[in-house]
Amino acid sequence: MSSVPEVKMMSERHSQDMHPPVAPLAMPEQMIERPRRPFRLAVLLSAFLSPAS
Amino acid sequence: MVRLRRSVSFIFSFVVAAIASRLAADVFFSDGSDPVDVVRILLLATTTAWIAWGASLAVQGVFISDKKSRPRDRHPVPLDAGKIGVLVPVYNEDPVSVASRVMAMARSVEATGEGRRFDFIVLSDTQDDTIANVERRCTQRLRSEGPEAIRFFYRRREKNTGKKAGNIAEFLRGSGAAYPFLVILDADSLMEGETMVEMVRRMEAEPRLGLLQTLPKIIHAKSWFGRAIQFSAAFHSPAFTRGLAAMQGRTGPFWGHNAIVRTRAFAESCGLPALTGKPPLGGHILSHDYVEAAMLARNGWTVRVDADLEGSYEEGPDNIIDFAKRDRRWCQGNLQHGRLLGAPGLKPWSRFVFAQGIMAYLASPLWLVFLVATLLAPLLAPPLNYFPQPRMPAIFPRPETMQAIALLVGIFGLLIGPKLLIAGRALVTGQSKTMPMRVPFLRSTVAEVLWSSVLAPITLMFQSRSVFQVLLGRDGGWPASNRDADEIGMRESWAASWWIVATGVLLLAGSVEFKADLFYWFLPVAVPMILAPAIISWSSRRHSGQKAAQAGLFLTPMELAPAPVIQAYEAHRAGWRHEALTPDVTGQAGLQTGQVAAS
Repeated sequence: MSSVPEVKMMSERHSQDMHPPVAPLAMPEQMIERPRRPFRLAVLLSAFLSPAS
Repeated sequence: MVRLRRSVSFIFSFVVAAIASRLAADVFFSDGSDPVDVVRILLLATTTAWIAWGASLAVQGVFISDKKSRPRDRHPVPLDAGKIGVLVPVYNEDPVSVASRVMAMARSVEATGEGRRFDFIVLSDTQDDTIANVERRCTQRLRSEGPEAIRFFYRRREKNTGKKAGNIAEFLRGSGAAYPFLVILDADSLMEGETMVEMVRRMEAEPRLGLLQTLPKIIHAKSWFGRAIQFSAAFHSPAFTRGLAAMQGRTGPFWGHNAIVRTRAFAESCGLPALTGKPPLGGHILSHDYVEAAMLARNGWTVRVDADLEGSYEEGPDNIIDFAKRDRRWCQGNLQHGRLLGAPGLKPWSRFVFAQGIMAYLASPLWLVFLVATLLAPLLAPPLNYFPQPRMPAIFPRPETMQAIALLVGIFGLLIGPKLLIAGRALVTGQSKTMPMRVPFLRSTVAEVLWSSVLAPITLMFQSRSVFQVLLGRDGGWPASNRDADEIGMRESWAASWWIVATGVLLLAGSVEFKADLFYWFLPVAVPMILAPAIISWSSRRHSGQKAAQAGLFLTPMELAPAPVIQAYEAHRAGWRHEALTPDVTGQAGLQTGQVAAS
């Protein structure tokens, strides 16, 4: 006599739905690049050349 | 111990580079010094240090026992609670072969008595609807005929965003919580059930182990080219891997497949964003596995390769063109890692591994530039001065041939020495007991050394072209593997390698024109280049592989006594391929292995 889980498995095996079980898991995107900083010389030059200086 | 090993290898590489530079200076400065000579010495020092680094890995591996580190449990206990998902990502591959492998692995797992713990999940990124239909029918057949205890699933993405890494990430986000551990395979992977169970045991025994990598052996090579790689993977790769493992400590490698991951660790650490900018250096990361290993280590998880785990197999390219295509992808992926050298929080060793991967491809163009600089050096050399001191006898330049020979022998020694040591170890420790033929084994070692010397200038050219293409902004894309339609005709071979022939001819003609002494030095490089079309075509043919096997060349233990899972796969595939001619099995009359792979 089959146990309940075995019966469930048998019906799964013959089901047309072959999708894997739904069991969501968080997979957050990681930071792998440093945020780009403006080129320092350009910052210096712009500060030096700006009309306010 | 890990630090000591790393230090020894670094010092060894530095000392070798210093000796090579000294010898090169003697040779290059013999007719006076100029800036081109300095560039040549720098190039030679860099490339020699790189070769010495590889040699140090292998030499360390030779003296480390593969059984010492983590012997299998003699009294295995049943696995703990929880399911293990075996992921089989596919992309336009032959469904019959894939399903045959899955069936063989499932039966092998069932034989361990742990079948109820395992689900096999085919994750399809196939873009061709015809192939996808066959994939579905093959999975249905696995569900109806496969072991009762094991479940089989199939999921297809319409768009293959993020390629294989994106495929696995989407599965994790949708179904990852159902599986504490995931075995990640490739479409051509094959693993013994006992090996998978042992991997789970090791993961369960070490809660901080995030990823465990095996060393897959190459199987089913048919051509001369494929069989030479298969032989090298069987005998040389384990020593290199043991050396690598000893030096990497907890910051081990991930090679993208034939590995097991702790699902939670992988999900929390390895969500890969696309790099800013466009391909080739921006966009989705092609060599994602190296980055995932680095990110696991960044989050404090151990990543390890266990070279003692047997029963792990994959197939490889059977010809130089397919090999070069795959190399083109890897080249682009590794050069992308240059963007990640400064990624926040990475372990220093992970950064070094990125640099090492980049150098694996930069070495080829560096050698090429060295050759060209050597050719042009006589043109740029200062005029000879026979009277450097007034009123003293004339001083004639000495050719310093002995130093040049010593340099060449040293470099070849670094390349060949480890292979000879590995062969010696196999004979002494009885590794070759599984192959009752010492003479053919030694003959195969010599043949492999000679063959890799012939092949080296050709791969140097393909790799140099790949590097230049990536640096010039050409995206290599992601062509499907074509591992069953592998014979290359002369016309196709010529189309792929005429520019290598032209380079070889130019090198020889240039040496005659600029400095006749160089002619003989260039012969070992230029002749294989000039013969490239013939070499590529001949080495791709099954006939060449059969000849090698008949002569006892490149035989491996797996060929002489195939593992049960390999035999089971071959039996399933033969049966299913035969049946695939009838529509009721796959729904696609006439769909055969090679046709699918080539489509």
